[in-house]
Amino acid sequence: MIATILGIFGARASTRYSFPGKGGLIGLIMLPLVLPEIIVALSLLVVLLAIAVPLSLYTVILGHVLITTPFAVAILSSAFQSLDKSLEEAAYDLGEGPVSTFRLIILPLVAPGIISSLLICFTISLDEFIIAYFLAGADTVLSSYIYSQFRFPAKVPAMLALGTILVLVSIVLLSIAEFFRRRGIAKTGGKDTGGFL
Amino acid sequence: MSDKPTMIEFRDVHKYYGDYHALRGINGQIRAGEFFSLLGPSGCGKTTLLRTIAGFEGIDSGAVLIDGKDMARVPANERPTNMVFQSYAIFPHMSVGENVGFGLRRDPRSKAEKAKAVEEALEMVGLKGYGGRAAHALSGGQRQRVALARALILKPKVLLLDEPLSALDKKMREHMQVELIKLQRQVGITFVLVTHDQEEALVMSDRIAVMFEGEIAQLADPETLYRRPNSKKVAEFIGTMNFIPAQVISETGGQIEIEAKGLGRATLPADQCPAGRGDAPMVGLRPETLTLLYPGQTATDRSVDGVIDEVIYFGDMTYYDVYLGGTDVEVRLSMRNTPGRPILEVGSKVDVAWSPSALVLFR
Ligand SMILES: Nc1ncnc2c1ncn2[C@@H]1O[C@H](COP(=O)(O)OP(=O)(O)O)[C@@H](O)[C@H]1O
Ligand SMILES: [Mg+2]
Repeated sequence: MIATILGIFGARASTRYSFPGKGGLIGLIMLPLVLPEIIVALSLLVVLLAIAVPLSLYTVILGHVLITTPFAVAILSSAFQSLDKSLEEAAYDLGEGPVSTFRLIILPLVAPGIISSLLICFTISLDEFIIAYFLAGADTVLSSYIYSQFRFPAKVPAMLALGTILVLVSIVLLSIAEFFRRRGIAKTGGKDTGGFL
Repeated sequence: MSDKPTMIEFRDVHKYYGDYHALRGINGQIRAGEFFSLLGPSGCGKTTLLRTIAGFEGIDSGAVLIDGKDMARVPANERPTNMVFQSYAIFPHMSVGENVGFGLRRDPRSKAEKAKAVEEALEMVGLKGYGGRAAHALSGGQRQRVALARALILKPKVLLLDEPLSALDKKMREHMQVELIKLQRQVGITFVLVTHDQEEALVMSDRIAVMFEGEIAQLADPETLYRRPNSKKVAEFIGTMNFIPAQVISETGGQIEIEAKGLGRATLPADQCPAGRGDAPMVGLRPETLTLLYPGQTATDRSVDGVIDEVIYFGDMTYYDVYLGGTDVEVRLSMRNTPGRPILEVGSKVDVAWSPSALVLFR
């Protein structure tokens, strides 16, 4: 959720404006994508401990925002890029201000990208284990909960069932996300420039 | 014509993109109710200049006035101009009717009145009854009409069109040229058209500004541009022109006597001699001002003998390349293929009629 909102701003900024250090900044945002998750989790843990933030669900959210933002930025950048700049100008030209132009023209046209970004970020976050395991502290997160329950043989069948459900939910969500992304592109008449599936 | 009031005025407009000097001191006026074209090769700054009128590009110095008002502090959404974009910029997530009615959102009229205005605008561009269709499923020609209706429904003082016909095929383009001229006469709004197609500009415009490299080279009506181009560059860009090396013999009180290779001497009045630029003197003449004399015909003005070097048959016309008067000066001339005018063969000796009044001296 948060990642997507950040992603909207990030992608919008990165496709429309150029500013010094833009390449570096985008690189930094994208960094968690290429780093092994365990490194992200560990380094985050070290930092959090160093500044003495108690581990809780909030720190898990922070970690998840960090690793899902790159996905959101990537998906939304492609959505913003396939948007013809003259559509915005046409709205100005016809008398609208910047805010109503964003609401009436830009938002509806990148909506499929936003939905697909939301779904993908949610899926990633749902299945994520390492960060949840390291940063949750005393709070319970679904993925680490499953892991902890495996220690009790009696609970294994139930956990296997839960795992299967998770896999299915993930597949369904990702398919829906891809569907929205493709439909958005078809509707705006743009070219398909990459994607995750 | 010239008593029409001024609608748009450029006062020494300069515009930079970083280091690149895109507009280099644009001056000129566009009159109310005229069909005006900005013509020039790709990259000369036509779109940039059009966008300074719309308010999408700021300028670095000078002023753009619309209807007497300096536009420096007026943003695009408050200017009395509307634009038809090169890509048409039809909102793909809306119906045709919603697109056309988009600009009426702030209009205080009732829903029913607005719907009527949309229907009228669609009718004007020949899309009556298309209001409910999805905009993203239209053909190129239809999109263009939607873009026109969407811009005209606001009754702007100026309609700006950026290469609106370049995406259409030749037949459709010629059809739309006529449609646009009719539409402009009907609504009486000032049209400013950007095009790189000189024929299109000549056909459609009341007046044309020919641009090269960020400057207006000549601003005139189509006939003046064609018959009296003010430089070799303009002459080359518009239509075909023969250039013949010449010498200036004498200049007396506006009259200039020249000697052109292969043609001989002629005295030209000042209006056939645009200001000099320090180039080697040349006279220019259009192919249709030269006439092949068939047996029994005599020249009404002057004539020169020649030899046909090339024959190019076009159906209604034939182009002949002819060496003049035993020299290496070759000119192209065009003859309409009317009955009694056989197509002549390469190598034939011919007489070519010409007139000093068709010459322009470039130097
Ligand atoms: N936004 C821009 N940034 C930098 N250079 C630009 C920009 N827009 C246009 N130019 C440059 O300015 C020149 C004029 O462009 P333009 O007005 O689009 O030409 P035209 O419409 O006559 O083909 C070109 O050399 C083009 O590369
Ligand atoms: Mg252009």
